[in-house]
Amino acid sequence: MEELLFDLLSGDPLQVLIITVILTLMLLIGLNISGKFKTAIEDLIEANPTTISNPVIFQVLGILLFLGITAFFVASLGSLGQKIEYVGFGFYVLTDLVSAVLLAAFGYAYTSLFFDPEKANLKVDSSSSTAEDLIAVLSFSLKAPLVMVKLISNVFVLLGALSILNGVFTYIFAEGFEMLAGIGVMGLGVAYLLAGVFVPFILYLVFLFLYPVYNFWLAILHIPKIGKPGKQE
Amino acid sequence: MENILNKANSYIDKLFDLMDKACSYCFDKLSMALNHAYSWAIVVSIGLLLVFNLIYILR
Repeated sequence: MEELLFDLLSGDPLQVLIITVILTLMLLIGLNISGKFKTAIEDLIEANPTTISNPVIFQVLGILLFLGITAFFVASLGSLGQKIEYVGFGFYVLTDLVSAVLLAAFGYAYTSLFFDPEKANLKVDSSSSTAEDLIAVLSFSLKAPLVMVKLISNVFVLLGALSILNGVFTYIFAEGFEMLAGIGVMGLGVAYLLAGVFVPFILYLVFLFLYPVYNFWLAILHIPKIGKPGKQE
Repeated sequence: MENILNKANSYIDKLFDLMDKACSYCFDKLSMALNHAYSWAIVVSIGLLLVFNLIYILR
């Protein structure tokens, strides 16, 4: 990203055009790859069920998260009000407001998984042992982002589009040093876009490398059940 | 006194239920809205980058 900014500031329009074309191609290729991984991720969640004896821990975590997100949203609106007071109205007000609403809505959507953990293939089973419960709670941190991957990707892409919009407007209407700020915001937008496009691929890999640890633990817990009627699956 | 506590408990439970419903609503609506906005956002972003290039060359 620093190189991109450096090239933008160096003032060669052809170089900037080439970078834009490369970025566009990267985005399109990334979109294609992501589309394939989104289906693979659904299968991955389906293939890795976990059990918990009582979902109350998730409900409590959900309530805490809900309160935290509400506090964040109120604070964001407060800071935006202060910014308007000091800097004055500008196009940034719209993009900042939409970003804050988008992040809060995403936070609430993420919290819905805690209230309904079955979305992450986490089944409530009263015969689940304490160790299985622990594995369910720990592995949830890996499963939840995977369930939300489509939403995470879409939020990043939308934030990227908003930042680019903000950057282009700033670049067009500002003068002097503020033009550089516009380019910086646009660079951030491009980074968001690339993150949004590649996040399914990255999360898939993270899950693939880290989740087997929980599979091993579950396999060890399964050993005493082998040969016992009714308990062996 | 027990009745008061029970009532308070039931109100708090209702509040938690509302939180649950609000979060589920956000999940459903946001998924739907973002699915529509996704392709638009990509196309608009690429278009804006090209517009920026044009302005950059002209300036």
